[in-house]
Amino acid sequence: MFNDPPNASELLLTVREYIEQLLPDLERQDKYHGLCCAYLLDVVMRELEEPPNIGDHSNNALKALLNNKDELSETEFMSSLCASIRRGDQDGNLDRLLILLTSHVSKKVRVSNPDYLDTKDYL
Amino acid sequence: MVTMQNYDNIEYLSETIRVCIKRRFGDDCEIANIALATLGGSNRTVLFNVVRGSYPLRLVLRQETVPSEYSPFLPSDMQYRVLEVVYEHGIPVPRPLFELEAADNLGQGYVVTAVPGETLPKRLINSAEYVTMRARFLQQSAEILAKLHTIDHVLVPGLSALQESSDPLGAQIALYDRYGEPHPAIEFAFRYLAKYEPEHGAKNFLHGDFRNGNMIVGTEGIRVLLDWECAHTGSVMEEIGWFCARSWRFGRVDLAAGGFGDRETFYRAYEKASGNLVDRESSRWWEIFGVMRWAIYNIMQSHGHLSRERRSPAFAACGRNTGIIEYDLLKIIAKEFD
Repeated sequence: MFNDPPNASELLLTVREYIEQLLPDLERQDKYHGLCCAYLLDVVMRELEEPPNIGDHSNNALKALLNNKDELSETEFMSSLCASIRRGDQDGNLDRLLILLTSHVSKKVRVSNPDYLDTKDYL
Repeated sequence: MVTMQNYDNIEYLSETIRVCIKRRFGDDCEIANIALATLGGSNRTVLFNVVRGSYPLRLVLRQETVPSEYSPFLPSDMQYRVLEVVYEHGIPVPRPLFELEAADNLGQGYVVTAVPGETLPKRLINSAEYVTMRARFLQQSAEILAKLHTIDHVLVPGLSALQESSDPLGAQIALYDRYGEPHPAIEFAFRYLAKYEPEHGAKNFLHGDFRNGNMIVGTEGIRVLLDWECAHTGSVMEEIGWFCARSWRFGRVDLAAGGFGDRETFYRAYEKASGNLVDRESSRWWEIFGVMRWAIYNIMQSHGHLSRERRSPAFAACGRNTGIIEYDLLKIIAKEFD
């Protein structure tokens, strides 16, 4: 669907800039929530910009651990992986699993707070 | 009817608190300077002055927000009993004054004295005003915990019967399961913690959330400990590990002991104050447990937001903060983070 400009990212940026202008005049409690709102907009902007195939390698490797041949949704797959870990099915693979899960979690952190990541987990 | 909307209405709150206070302090007092503090995990905090004559008394209403079947926190009547017991034993806490009654029309909660001072962790750790006080905060933390851990927990009926007391790992798994969100990193931590779980030994009275952020300080030191809704019984290593968990360092990851100093200094201060040895290995296990627990608490806050029980931008941010805590968790288990 075609929309007139500004696009979604520009709209978010506009709201973020306005919140930034308000922040110096806000009192403690409102300032805290204002900062949270600015952070949430940053998260959404990064999520919109994130290439969808980032992290596919670790996701595919995690799927291989489950011998997953079904076409599960992302949530169904994560639930299956959780159940598998809970049952102890992955106990023989814990070292490998730790590396793959770090990669999986790094993908989330790239959106929520990329500055937090170790350089080697960023790429 | 008492609703969340009513509680959020400052005029409604002022009037209801006025009636509640006059019932106890008499008709000749007035309420002034009412303010809502930051919304906590389970309690709403309302500050107000009671004015009688020329001298105002600053008080705090701690009001249970919508009681939730998902809440891991103590009900407010147990919180109040905890406060009474620790106050009687000389632990620095706001003085408990009275519990709310049905006639107050304010739901569940209690009133304590207000204590002025600073609570913001980043300010405690980073501001020039407090930088020379870190060693004092660390020492006091060790001494207060040593004293708290000697209190007989039987004085708070029901404390040892909590699942957090009898089966700490099982309690966290049960809490996590209630939210129905798949987090393989947390599942991994459950597995890891179960595999390496140490013997826990004797059960002591624990604050349950003793850390930077849950204390009011002044430039002379710690004034009071806040937020007793997680009190339970358990190994004192649980409390020491929670205090040293990576999540309370607020950018100063080198200051492992609560953002105030290094672990060994804290361990030795606790050993000196309590006369008991700190089991370093066990405390490190509890640090990992603590980061896992903090991840689940962030899921809980996000769930509270999404279920519309407690809407706030901060609680929405908690949902996206969970991945950052999981990252810490995995890096600590991999021994890449300290």
